[in-house]
Amino acid sequence: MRETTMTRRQLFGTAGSVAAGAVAATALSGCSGTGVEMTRTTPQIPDPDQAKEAAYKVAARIQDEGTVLLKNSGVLPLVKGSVVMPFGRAYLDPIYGQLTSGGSAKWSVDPVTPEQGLSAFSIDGSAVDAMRTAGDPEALEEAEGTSAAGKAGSMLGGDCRIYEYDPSIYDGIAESPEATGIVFVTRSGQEGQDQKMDAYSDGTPHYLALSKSERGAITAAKRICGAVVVVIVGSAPMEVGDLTSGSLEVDAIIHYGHPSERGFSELSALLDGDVNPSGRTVDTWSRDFTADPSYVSVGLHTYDNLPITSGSLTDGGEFMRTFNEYQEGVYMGYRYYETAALVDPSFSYDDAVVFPFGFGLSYTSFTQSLDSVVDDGVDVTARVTVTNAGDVSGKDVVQLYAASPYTEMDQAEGIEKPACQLVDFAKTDLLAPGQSQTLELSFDREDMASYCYTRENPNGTVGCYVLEAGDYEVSLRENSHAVIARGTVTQDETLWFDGSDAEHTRRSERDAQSALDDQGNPVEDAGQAYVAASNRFQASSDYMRAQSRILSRADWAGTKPVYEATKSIDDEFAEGHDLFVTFDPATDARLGNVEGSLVYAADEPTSGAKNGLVASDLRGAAYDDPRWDALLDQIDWVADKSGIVRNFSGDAYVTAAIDSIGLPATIDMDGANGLKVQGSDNGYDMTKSCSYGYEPLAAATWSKDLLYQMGEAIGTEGLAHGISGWYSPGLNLHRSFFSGRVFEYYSEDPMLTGKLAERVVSGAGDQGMYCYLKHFALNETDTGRAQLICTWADEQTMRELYFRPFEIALKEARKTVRYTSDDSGAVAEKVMRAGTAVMASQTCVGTMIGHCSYALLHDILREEWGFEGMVISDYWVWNGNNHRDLAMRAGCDTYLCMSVPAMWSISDYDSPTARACMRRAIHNLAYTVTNSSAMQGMVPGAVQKTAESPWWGIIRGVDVVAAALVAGGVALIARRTKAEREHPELYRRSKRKQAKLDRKRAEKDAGEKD
Amino acid sequence: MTPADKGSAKLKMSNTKFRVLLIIPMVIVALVAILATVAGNLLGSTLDTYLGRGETYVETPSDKTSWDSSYYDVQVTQGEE
Repeated sequence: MRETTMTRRQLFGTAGSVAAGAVAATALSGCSGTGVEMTRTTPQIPDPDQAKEAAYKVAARIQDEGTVLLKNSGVLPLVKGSVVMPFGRAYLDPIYGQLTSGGSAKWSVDPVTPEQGLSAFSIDGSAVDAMRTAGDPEALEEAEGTSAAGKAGSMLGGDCRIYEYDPSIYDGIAESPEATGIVFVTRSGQEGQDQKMDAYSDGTPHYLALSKSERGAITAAKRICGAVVVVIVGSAPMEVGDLTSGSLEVDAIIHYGHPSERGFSELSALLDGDVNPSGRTVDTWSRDFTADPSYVSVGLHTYDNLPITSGSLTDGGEFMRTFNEYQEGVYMGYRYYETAALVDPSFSYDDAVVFPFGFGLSYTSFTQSLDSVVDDGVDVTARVTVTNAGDVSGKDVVQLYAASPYTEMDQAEGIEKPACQLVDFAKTDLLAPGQSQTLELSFDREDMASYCYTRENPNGTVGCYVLEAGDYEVSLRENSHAVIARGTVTQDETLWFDGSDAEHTRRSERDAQSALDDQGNPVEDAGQAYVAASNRFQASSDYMRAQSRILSRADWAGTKPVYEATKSIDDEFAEGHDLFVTFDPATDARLGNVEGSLVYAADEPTSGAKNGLVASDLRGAAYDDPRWDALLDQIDWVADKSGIVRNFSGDAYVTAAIDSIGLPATIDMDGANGLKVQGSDNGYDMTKSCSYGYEPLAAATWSKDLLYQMGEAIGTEGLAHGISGWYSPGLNLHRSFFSGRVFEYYSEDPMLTGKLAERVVSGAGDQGMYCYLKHFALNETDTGRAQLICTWADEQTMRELYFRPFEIALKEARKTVRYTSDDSGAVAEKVMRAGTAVMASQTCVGTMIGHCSYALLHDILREEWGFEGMVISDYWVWNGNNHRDLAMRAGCDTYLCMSVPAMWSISDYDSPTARACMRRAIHNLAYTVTNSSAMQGMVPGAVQKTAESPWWGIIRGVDVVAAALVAGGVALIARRTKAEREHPELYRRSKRKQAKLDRKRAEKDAGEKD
Repeated sequence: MTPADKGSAKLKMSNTKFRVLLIIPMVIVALVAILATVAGNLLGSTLDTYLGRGETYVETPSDKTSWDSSYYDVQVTQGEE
């Protein structure tokens, strides 16, 4: 720690210079009140450029290991220096990621191009010349009567245009058998709009199918070249079944993902074998996306009897609410296709699935053997030996699945059981030819439990997890479909996790609700009453049964999802649907200032105490450390009102300081593919930080180690730029590939998603960054998100699929926190939970928007999962302060929106209930911030201050100039008035004044004559 | 043209007109200044985001400046396999 006066760049880098503190310009009362002599000091930070370049090394490895080789007839790897002939508009103009600069992702400014990426080869430019000669192709139009391909655009400017040259441009190119044709195909990712689900004018059935011209380009490449490789540049799967057989069959297919800024720099290495592909699919690549069970229920569906008056600033007015029903239930992705293959005699898996989940090829071959499956009654551990049986080095992925027995009880209780579910996975080291490695995979027995939302529990609650008696199959698989070996785990008696005692509460719940020791291990308390999962969304389950349908193994054909463009909602499910419009904090029985409400407080909490604490004193303290109360007792509700209100009304990309408790402001940033750092380009500078390939690419590595390193690298960049919070990763699932934000979410599988997210969060946490896991929950679509789309699912589906990634990451992520442990300045380490931030969904769970759902943010998150930290809303521009009251009381601790105090606040700042809720939220915020990099350089007692913003100098200058001009004008007028009085003859006069003067003069003349 | 007409041609602008012409821009300038100040207060956080914020620094109790407060690794080590 150096004792100097620092510049803001020295302290927090450029980003810090622009957003490091919200309102911390004034002295911090909590500290200044102590009368301690203070010295300015400089925290140490990493070099931003070094951090960026180190991060790019991680990004390159993610591209290497996340690229999936989907098909290879032997043409790959190519010989270095061999001739390649690129085809396709995407070679000249690929989509590197998010289509526009709007939205949460970084955009590309000077990306490595495919041409640069092919530097190891001799490029035959015949097709490229033809493309360049042809000029820019026209965008494919939508078919008549279908949704717009792009003209309507989205709120953030995205579109679903497909650009490709008419294949006739290649007609004049002579055959070149020695060349390998490489056809590039690209698709976008975008926030604010889903992908086009219906037809284009050329017959292309939807955005994720190959267009007629793209097929033509492949056909031309097949005619001209000796072999053809198709490179898919995009995050979502595409319908490419026709490329695997028949007239359009190609020699190799590569899913390259969205590569971002430098991803194409790895292209040559992957094609020539310097890097052996080891990625695996993160989704099921079906043959016909419109046959997917989710297809009928995504998109726009509207109630005909549920109007609402929106408070949205951009989408205001009255409109009918929309809905999205998860009719396929737990049978989503491979769970559907594997189960269909098991239960539906008419279903042909090979016809339906082109590339299974977890599929990927290599330039070498591996053998895997299941050495043992050991069940110790708590954990199940499998040992798997992987041997490289080929000729080149490579990495392999080991996948362990479990299948639960489907019983009569399941049918009676409405429990669904997919044919298999991923329970653990691992990636080998780089294995040389002939080399073996034994990996140990394990999972908790309770991970095989299913959620039964119909069970009536002894304690009066409804719904719980159950591990049924029977044999559970544990299988080692190449992918979700290809079984290598099987083992069995037997459950002797049915175990209901109904919370009646510790044994009947899942271990993960007991652990999550327990305090941790300094090594990060849960310490169970025999006297603690643990809370088991039970129904929190009864209405949603009831709705699915009464008003919709749930796909069931018991009646597979009879419960298939159906399309409904519009319907009426029953009154019982519509009741209170507009609470976030009508909420009155004074009278609401559930969350208002009413005795008996969930948040009621009769007395205002202590405030204004002089306990001499600041937030830096509590770094390393447990969430329930009594010193937090002493700190929170110091809150000065009057002096700190602007900062406190800001946190609850407009906290976009910052959290505001609260001076009376010495809580520093923080900078929190977006960045699905890397950390956005502020600058002058639309508020950002994309060159200041690393751009990673997008999340599906990272997930396709199936590498927990690599994801940890990614988190660590992002955390380091954050530390270098003074950014403590990251609005990422996105843990919603690829329920439908037509979701515009597939690029921002990892996969269709909750286990893969959750385990990888846990690693990212832990890695980032070790470098002081808190990750806002988003969008909690059921935010699998962007359609209707601004129109308050109602999302419905049964509670088994919610818990086993869509809540699960959040649950895994929040419960399991750990970080090491260094803190000052005694009065002599000694530093100690302890392991704490790293999952301390969550972003709520913008869509509604049932009829309630995520950030106003007490069931979601309190019952599930805090009560069941023991979450200790802060929740933020998604960006939500909404008029009506009462909406912010509701959010804060429901458990949303900060509100993501631009800060405009003149427009938005909270309506109840003064009642005891409001104060108690705000105090709780400040506790959550302070706990998160205090154990983050925001405290770098802050010993106990230290405080952060922010001087007046430099732009105030401009305003002051304007004020001074204006004052000078006004004063000068006044002086001029006075001087002229005086001069006119003395010499009126020199000035023009108004007619009235002249007449008056003439009259006086005439009177004077008349007087003189007299 | 009479001598009197010549004299009136050289007369200065009437003071009333002069005031009107000067007061309007003065009022505009004053309003700009007031609005800028009000906007600075109301939209301060947004302006901070785009125009930059003031110097942020840490103040440490003078008797603790020698304490280790580098809680995170500032040596960049990521990226190596």
